[in-house]
Amino acid sequence: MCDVFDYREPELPENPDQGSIDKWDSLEHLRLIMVVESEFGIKFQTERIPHLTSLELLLSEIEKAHG
Amino acid sequence: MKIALLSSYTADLLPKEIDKHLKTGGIVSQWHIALFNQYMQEFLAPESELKRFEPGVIILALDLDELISVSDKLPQLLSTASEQFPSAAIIVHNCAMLQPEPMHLLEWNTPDSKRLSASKINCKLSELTQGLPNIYVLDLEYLVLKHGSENLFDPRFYYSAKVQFSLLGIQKVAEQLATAILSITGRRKKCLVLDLDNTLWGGIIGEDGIEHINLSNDGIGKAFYDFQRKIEKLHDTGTVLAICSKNDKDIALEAINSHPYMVLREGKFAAIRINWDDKASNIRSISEELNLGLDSFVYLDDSAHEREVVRKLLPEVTVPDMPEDFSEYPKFLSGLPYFETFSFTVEDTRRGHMYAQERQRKDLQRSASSFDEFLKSLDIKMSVKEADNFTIPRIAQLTQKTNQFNLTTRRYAESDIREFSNNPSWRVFSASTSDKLGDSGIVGVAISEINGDTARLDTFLISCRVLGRGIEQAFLIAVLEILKKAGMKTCIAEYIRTKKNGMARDFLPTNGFALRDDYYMCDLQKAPEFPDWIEVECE
Repeated sequence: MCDVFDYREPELPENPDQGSIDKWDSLEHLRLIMVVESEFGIKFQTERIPHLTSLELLLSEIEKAHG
Repeated sequence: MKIALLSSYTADLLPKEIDKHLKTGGIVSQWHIALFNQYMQEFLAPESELKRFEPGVIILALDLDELISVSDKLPQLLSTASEQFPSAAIIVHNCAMLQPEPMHLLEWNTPDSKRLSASKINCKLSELTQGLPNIYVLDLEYLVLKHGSENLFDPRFYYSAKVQFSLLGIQKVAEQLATAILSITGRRKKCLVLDLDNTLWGGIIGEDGIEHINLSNDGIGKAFYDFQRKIEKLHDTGTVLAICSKNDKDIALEAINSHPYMVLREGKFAAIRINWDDKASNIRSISEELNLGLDSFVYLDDSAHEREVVRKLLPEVTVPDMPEDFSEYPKFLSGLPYFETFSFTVEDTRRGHMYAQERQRKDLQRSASSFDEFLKSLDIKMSVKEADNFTIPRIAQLTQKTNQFNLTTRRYAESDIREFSNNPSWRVFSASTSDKLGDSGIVGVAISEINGDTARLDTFLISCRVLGRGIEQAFLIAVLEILKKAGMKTCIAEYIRTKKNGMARDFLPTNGFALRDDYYMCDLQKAPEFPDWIEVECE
């Protein structure tokens, strides 16, 4: 997240989501999804992608995928 | 650098990736991303935002479907773009079938199929841009051939947001675009330094002997042969080659000159360091001999240890890792972005020969009894001409590459030189020299702006390869003569100090110019005489 949105780790807000991070628009959201998929070796379903708009939601998807 | 992005699909994810690569080439960018699918208006409208932005580079990204639907209007679109933005470099990528059509057996055999349309459009793009000097075609189709549409296209992002590429696709396309931009703006590397053992041939010449090193046109030795052939191609398009190897010089040179499958003979190398000294000092010495900055060097060596040493001691030199397996050397060489260029000049093809001639001149100088006698014995001839279509590319290239004997270091693209050349208040001159030992080609550029009876010297530079023979003075005097004949009474000039042009600091004051505040002035009635060892011919 820090890489995609140009943050330094301690500056990242408490519960990062589309509301609390300025740069997180629909385009950067796609970039975030791409990077997360590549890092964790998973693929999200097309319909799910627009809904994964917070760190929490992303983490739960990643956990589900990795069993 | 101002870069504009115009597209018919969502290409907004590219700029950030492109910037990563541009940064390593020292370019800081400022972007203008046009509104979705507004490329036509941006190019054609007289008062468009694109016009106001004044871009140095314009990237035109059109997907296959769009290109098919505007294919009739392509010639006009491109020529208008070229005319409306004469001083920008316009990069347009060609197209590829990223998403397959059903019944692909039928596709290639049906006249108006998508597949055939893509192919025809790409050929057309290639033809159309031959005549438009500031438009460059980026081969997207080649990227798809290399990586596969399966890897570069992700339907989920296409359907979600009209993004044409997967993450890998974005990375690869961005990398190519950055390489193109770096190449167009003259950031191409100039010198490739090569190790010998296990780099240009398999084995160690000092131990295996000329009969047993692995280098042939057949069998696995062909990998080294092909590697050398690809390096030869770099040489033929203007890259300077040098050797840096820990070896016995005679044994190594014998192999280089007599092995039947050695492609890169001694004459192709501008500098040779074969000894037992450390690589870093040798490379630094090559840099001094050739008068080329270490930041324009690339070093290839199969030994990870030697690479680390050079990286640590000479951080400006680019030292890529080489593949473990030598079968991958040819592919590796083809993938190096450092020497990429869209075109090359006649000067580029002759660069290798010119360095060999330079070595001969140095030998002549050592045997002459005085410097003056040496200069006279060279029989130097100089020809000063106004720029024409044939010489404009080389003139632009010199303004981009020359750092040392350059009074003002103003960088110009071909389109800029063309504009000056067509403008009646500007004059662009080139100087070509030759001597007894060979032809050096175009070595000097002078650009002057006329204002009434005063000429302002905007640019004056000489290639480092001919310095120290009075050519700088002769060229300046020739230009002043021409300006005087055109009715000028005074010439003003500037010296803009940079880290690299210290050697030109005293040039103006020692050649007839007087310092007035922050510029120099010369009364053309009192211009100095030509040096007597150079024969000058002006047009």
